[in-house]
Amino acid sequence: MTDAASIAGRVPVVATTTEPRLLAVDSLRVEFAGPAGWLPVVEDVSFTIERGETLGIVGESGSGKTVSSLAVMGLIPKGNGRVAEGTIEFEGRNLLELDADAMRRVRGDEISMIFQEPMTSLNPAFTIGKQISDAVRAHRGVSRSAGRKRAVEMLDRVGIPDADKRVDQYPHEFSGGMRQRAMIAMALSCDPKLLIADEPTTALDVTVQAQILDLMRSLQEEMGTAILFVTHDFGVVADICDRVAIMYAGQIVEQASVAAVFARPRHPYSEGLLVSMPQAARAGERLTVIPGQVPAPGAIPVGCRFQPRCSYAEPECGDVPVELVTIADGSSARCLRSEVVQLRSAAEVLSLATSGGERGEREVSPEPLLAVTGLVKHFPVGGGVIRRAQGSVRAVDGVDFSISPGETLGLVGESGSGKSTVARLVVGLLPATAGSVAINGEETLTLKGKSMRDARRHMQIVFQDPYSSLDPRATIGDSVGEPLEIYENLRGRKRDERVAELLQLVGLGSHVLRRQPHEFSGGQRQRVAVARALALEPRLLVCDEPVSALDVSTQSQVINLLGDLQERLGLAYLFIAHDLSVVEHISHRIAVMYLGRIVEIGPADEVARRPRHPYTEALVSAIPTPDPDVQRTRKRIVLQGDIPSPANPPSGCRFHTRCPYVMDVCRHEDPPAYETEVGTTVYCHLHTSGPVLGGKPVSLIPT
Amino acid sequence: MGSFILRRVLALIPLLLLITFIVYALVLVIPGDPARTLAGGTKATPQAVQAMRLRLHLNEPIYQQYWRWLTQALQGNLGKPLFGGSQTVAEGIRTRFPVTLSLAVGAMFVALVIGVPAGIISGIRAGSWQDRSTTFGTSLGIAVPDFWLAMMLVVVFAVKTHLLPATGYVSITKDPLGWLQDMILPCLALGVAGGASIARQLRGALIDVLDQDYIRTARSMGLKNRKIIGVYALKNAATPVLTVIGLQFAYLLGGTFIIEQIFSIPGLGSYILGAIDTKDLPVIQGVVLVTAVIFVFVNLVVDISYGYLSPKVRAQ
Amino acid sequence: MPIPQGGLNLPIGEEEAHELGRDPEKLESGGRFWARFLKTRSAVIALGFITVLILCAVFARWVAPYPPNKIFPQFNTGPSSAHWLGTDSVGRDILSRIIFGARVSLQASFQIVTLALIVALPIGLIAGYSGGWKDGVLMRIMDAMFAFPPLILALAVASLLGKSLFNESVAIAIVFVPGFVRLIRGQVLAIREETFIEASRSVGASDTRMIRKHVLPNVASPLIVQVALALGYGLLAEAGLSFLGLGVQPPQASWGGMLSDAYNYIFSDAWGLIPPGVAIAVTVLSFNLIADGLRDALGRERFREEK
Repeated sequence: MTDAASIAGRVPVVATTTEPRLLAVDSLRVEFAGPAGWLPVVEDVSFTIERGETLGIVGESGSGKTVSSLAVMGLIPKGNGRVAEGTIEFEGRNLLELDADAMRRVRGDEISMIFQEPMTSLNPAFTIGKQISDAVRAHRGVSRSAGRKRAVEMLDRVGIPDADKRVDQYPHEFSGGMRQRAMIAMALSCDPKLLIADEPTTALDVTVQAQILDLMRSLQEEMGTAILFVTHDFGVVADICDRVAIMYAGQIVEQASVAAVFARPRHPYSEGLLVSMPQAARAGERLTVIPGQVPAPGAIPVGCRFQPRCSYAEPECGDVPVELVTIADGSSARCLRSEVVQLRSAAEVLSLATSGGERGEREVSPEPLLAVTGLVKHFPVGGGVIRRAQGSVRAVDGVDFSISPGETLGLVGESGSGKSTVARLVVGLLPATAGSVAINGEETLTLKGKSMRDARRHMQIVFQDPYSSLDPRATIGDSVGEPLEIYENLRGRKRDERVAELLQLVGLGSHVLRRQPHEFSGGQRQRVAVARALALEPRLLVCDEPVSALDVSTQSQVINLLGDLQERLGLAYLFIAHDLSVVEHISHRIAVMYLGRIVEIGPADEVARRPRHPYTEALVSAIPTPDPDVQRTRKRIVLQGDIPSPANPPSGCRFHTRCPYVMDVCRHEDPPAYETEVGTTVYCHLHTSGPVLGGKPVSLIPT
Repeated sequence: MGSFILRRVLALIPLLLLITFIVYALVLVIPGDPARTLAGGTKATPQAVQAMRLRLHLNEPIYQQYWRWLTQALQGNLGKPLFGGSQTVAEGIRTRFPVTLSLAVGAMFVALVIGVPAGIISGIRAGSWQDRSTTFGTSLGIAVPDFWLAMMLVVVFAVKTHLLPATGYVSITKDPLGWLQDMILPCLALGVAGGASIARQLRGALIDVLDQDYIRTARSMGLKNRKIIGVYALKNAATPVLTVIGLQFAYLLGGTFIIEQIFSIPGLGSYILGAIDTKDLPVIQGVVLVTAVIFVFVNLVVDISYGYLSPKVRAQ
Repeated sequence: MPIPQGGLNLPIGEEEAHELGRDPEKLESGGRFWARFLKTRSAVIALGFITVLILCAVFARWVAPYPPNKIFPQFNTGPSSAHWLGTDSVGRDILSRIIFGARVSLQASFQIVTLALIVALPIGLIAGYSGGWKDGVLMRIMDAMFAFPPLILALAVASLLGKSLFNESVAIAIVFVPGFVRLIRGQVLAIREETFIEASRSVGASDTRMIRKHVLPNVASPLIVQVALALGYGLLAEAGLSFLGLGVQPPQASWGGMLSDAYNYIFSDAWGLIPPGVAIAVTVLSFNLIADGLRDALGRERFREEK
């Protein structure tokens, strides 16, 4: 029990001399086949994990974090990948020397792994129970019925209701969160000593992420499992890890306890990741960005790999490879100047942001640019050529908001909230079922033909996925020039001149005109998409999750671009995202959606800091703060259950099934709109019936 | 599962109706005046042309013709051949059908015996020398015309070495051993190309499936390789392969027609080929209809097995 | 067949793609496509062979050693210096007949594929792009056409149309239509889901513009693979029907017809079977290898193999 106690206290268990370390990775080098031979993807990576400890590996795409964890599992794909150097010692045995069958017996039994994509990580052709049972039977040789019993027990343990029934269901009958629970159940079914979790919550909604992180924490306390937690999210690190290794371009650049990293980062890249988070800048101000991009495996700089992007770099940094040096209190960093440069702590960085929001005074014009009232979109479900539709998904079910010229309205919600549908309805990509969308006072939903196209000029859209939003066969010039050809009939040189101006505007040179999308990174493609959207000089830009597919450092570059453009061109934005911190940074006002309806709308500060709707409160609380001191002490609300299906939304207040403050009235009656003194509109019975809140923040309800 | 099968069966009714329509519409394909063409073209006497017109009711509107033909076909009456013999088309098909079917089934057996192991071997070792040689073999297998392969087999096994009979056919009830001997070469000739197609499809499907996240999950849980490939991967890879097996059946059915000619096997092929020169419409329509209906039912079986293999399909 | 190419498996691309849940090779640009095709040796050799064959067929009169129907006194002979591939049962030079037969075979397969595409392309585009009832009706008809064993339907149509090369091509083309329609429709459906189509619509592009500028170019490359395969299968089908006497009529040379002639002497002189059979097999193999090379260049398993 001492183990459990110490884990609960978040003190790593010190390895005794008699017992070998749980995991010690030393000088690991992993190579993958490239066009010109083997390319190192992970180089000189060393780390250790103690029993019951959680080590976080943080990095952006291409940093080698996933490859390192696959190497520990012995799952580097043979043929095009290989472990070229190093040792991986697990309880004293070098796993790299084990033969295939011995390694197989370690996998799943002593070390197991959960993956990022719960939707594709379970076999669609077999029941959940059979898959867990097969895993148990592979190592324990128990009977079928015993395997099934263990499956039920584990499913129950990870919080799947009616485990004895659901054990016989197939993965497609489980929601994303439930599948990740089932994955965890499978991974822990043989009581492994080490669990590798590769971005286990990245594909999940924030409120579900909070549930899964909670579950992992409590299971770890119960079972004493050590966790290797791979993530790109500093907030999650602050939430769940004891120690952290930060990876950049295939190497660990800093390794330290979580407290130490956040108190004083020792590598400029670590600081860079912190300061480029939207939480780290005052609302409305530019984010600090790490310039440039992560180098490709074939194009690694000779000296410090981060040097070309580093703001503290000196000429000597580029000369020779830099070693990982131990500094103090178990911290180490791969930086020549780590003793010289004083980097900022998380608390310092975050305090910048909290010291008074200065969102820029706008002149609020009396006439809104965009007015949306009673917007409804129902999608028919089922049905085919002959059969009639069997019901409808109420994707958007009565939404009102308006946007003034030059204003940013942030629209936040989780999956199924209908936020992306709203975006498509506003720009006319989908026909609305009911309601009104007026731009400059002109109703657009009833427009047809030429007048519709004219109205469209004023509203353009930028999509989430930069990889599919550009035609792979068209040049950048063709993509950006398409609206000019259609609306202004510009061709040839005239078109290209305008396109070049637009590309300059979004920070890309005009030389990219003839290039094709595959030559560009995600962030650059998103700039191209913005350029295309600006071609017709719209007054409103609808941004549908424009940065959620991007890495942290790229994300901040695009957010800054949008901020600059707003200032220069007086654009208004409808900015849609699932990430409240991004939305809070960029928006003047925020609307929160849940299951097709807005639950709260008002000034950004008020909604994000003093939420008046229980759902907003839960959403805010579910976002991990990138500061362990704050994250581990603040009040947290973990919502129960999944988001209900919009095909069959709950009666009354749609949030009542998950609301911690649910009252009887919530189950039957739609909550009325309540206007507060600070300008927030909130749809919640707490403000009008029961113990009346009367416009005060939910946090004032005594627990 | 029961309601799943029922739904699939009900969905066949409109399909079968469309098929009968297309089969009947073959009459529209005949250039010029069908009655004259069928009666022998320019040489035909006006009386013969008129007789043909009345006999096939070609003077009626097409929908009436179709309706008459359909209602008769539903009662098993496919008419009489225009030329020769008193046997009706339905009888003609009934006596020859088992021969063709046994040939197709035998060829399918050969195809599976060749295709499944070859596909698995190259699928799980993509890029290896085993894979490369198998892939070359399957490329060749689908490129070689089956009727040419049949003739070469005859040359090698019958003409040169006398191991097997060159041509001929005895019914299985009369002489089971002789039947088997007669069937070996035709089935082999037909089955090779099918086997090559199945192997290629299975290889592709396996490579695809082995690349899936859930296979990585199974590996990460330490399942044995045999189990991962033999159970976890194969069940998922089977679905696309089934489609090909269904399609292959249609090819085999078509392929039998030439093969029967080469081996002098009295099946549907020889029946329809005998009708080609005279453009014997009822025989052609009858044979085409029957083979299409068989193929539809083969595909029904394929569909139902999808449901068994993929719980998601079953639920839809 | 999708043999993973070394250069495509860089983990950086995969990891990035993984995080976005997309296959980076799914949609490709033109330049890299051909560069990678030229790296597949077997496909390049096959393309070379087909090119030479086409040239031989076009200039048959100058390439062939003798006129195809010239009768020599020696019949059913094996290879000799005068007749590299021997003579047939009547005493005609087999090599010359193979070269002239290539004309028939290639003309037939290109004719078949062109006819099939002319019909299938609009149907596939309409079904996939407009969806709804049009899609439903068109696809049910295609399902019904697909329900006929291909060779049998072609045989019936060819025999009713009357014996000629063009009629034979029409008959085989009909059989090819539903396969092409399904492929095109499937590709259009997939492309319609891509965000760049929505993006284009949001800047006011009309349906015709969208199909011309975005849908067609992206359908084209998978379609080319299918065309290469279909050329091979078309040639096979043509040979089969001519073997049964449905294609060009004697004395004109065709590979299938030559096999049919030689078949009559199978018990005495089997040599005559070899040259036309090998010619068919090698040509079909070449088309298939070209298709494989194109598919590899296109990226992994963009679509399933459908015969």
